[in-house]
Amino acid sequence: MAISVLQERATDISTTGTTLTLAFSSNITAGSAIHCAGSWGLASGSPTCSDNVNGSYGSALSTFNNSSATQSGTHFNKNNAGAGATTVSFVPPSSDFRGICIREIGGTSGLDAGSGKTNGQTTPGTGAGVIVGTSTTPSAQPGLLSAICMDIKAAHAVAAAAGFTAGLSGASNQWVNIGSLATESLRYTSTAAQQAKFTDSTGGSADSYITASVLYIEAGTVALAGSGATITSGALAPSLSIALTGQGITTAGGILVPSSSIAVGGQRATVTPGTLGVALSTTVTGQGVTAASGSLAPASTLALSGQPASLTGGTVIPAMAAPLSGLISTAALGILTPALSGAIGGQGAILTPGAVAPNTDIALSGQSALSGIGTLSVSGDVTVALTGQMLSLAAGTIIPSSIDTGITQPGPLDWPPDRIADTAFRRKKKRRLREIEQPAHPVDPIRVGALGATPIPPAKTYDFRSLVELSGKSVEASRVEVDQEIARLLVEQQERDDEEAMTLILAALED
Amino acid sequence: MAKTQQISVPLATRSAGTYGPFASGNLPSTLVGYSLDFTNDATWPTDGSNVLTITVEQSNDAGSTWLFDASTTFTASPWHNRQGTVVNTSDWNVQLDNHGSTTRRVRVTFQLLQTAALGVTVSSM
Repeated sequence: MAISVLQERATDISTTGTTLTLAFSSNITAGSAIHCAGSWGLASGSPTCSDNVNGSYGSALSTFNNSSATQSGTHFNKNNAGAGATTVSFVPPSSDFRGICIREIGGTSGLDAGSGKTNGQTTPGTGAGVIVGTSTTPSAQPGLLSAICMDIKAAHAVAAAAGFTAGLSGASNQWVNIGSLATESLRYTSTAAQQAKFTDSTGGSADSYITASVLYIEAGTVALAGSGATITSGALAPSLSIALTGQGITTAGGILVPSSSIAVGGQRATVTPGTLGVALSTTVTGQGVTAASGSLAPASTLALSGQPASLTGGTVIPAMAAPLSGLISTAALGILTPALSGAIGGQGAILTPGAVAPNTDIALSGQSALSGIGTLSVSGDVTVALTGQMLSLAAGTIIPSSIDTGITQPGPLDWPPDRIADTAFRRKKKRRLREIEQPAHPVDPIRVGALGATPIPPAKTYDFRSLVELSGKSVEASRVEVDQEIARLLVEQQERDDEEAMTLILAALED
Repeated sequence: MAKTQQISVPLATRSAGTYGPFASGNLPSTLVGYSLDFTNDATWPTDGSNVLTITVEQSNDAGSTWLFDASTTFTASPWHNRQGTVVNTSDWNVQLDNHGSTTRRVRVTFQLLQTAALGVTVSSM
């Protein structure tokens, strides 16, 4: 629904008194704003405004006191009014010549902050549009200018200037005790400055005027830039071109779903039990990005770079190319799953009882990468570097899936093949064979068992020379005592003519 | 616009209490509002306290149902005209939407909080 004035009424009285109450002719539509202007026969005082559905309207938007005419004008606003039969009460200090004008503004997301003004003029003239409000620049568009002009001296016919939508006017018997009253509105579609304009072709050179004007933002064109933007239950779903830059952006129970090109840059972005689903090309840069329980699921090309990025119970799923570079990236309960090409570079990357499961090309380079209870499962697709100062798993499993992770422990069985061809190694092999042929002392079978096989007491002697001869080698050797297992291994390797394996077994005997 | 008298309550000194409601007949279809013209006398209190609350209700169905329309309070203070002169008459104008309805009515109720002399005439406009 395009923003517009849905209904309006006015009344005034000359008798001295206080409260002046007026009902809207029709029930208020939920979500409308109410613009209320009032006047009273003093040049001082601080009136209040309220209604039976929404309560107090708070402080006046602006007030103008005309000392020479001994008359004042003010106006109030109520955003997001409740539905129903509504009666608005204006309460000035006890005075005569009291008036009230009420307007329902439909299709609005509320007041354009700071746009409520009053402008006083004395004898501005009878020219067209010379009675003016304060020029005000909108923060967003489209929007609606709502203006109420009070002639506070005489009953002359004030009228809306050309180009404005006329509302109440003197012809409808408005404020004949105070003087006269006219209203107008204008829907604008740019952020150029807006100014109310009225004409009093009869009394303009003799009367005094107070023009109250305010800007309302059309629903769907929302700027949330206050110190706190809060949704306690329900959905806050601005659709387009929204800047959420308040100090705190909070949804206690509901959904905050800006859909595109959104900057969420407040000091804190918090979702308690709902979902913060930032869809596209979004930068979440608040000092704290917190999801107490629920999902923080920015879809693509996101930077989560606030000081702490925290998920108490739920899921943080940046899908693609997302750097999580806050001071702390924490998932207390749930899953921290950067899917692709994500760098988790915060000071602490902590998962308490859940899983960190990066798939590919992930660098965990924070000061500490910690999985308290659960699984830090680097699935080993390719190129995983765990280079933090601390890599700690309190209770669980670290599972590198490939032998090529770079976790090496040099030992006798992993000599590289190129060492077989090494000349010095061959000389070492020949020397050992000579020692076997002419042993200085028997080989200790227990030490042989220390190679890794079960230590077996000597049970039988073998003709080592005959074993060697089976391999086709010409070697003179005496009998040596070896355990059954070593003998069996030697036979097996000789039968397979596996010089490399045989050499390794013999070399191990050097120890 | 010319006024057409609908209800008349003559000036008289009345003690504290509720008076009315005083109802009109069906108002003209060309209605743009209604007016209440008050009269008092020299006995009107002047101590600043509240004297009167007056409430107007309207009906769109010839008096079968009534809805709150407007109300105001009077305080104990002399009445003045726009030039500041003390007067014994006062006027309250209330705008109404022109529905073209032929079954619209208004009724008025006074709640005097203290003894005062008051008369009122209700007119359509």
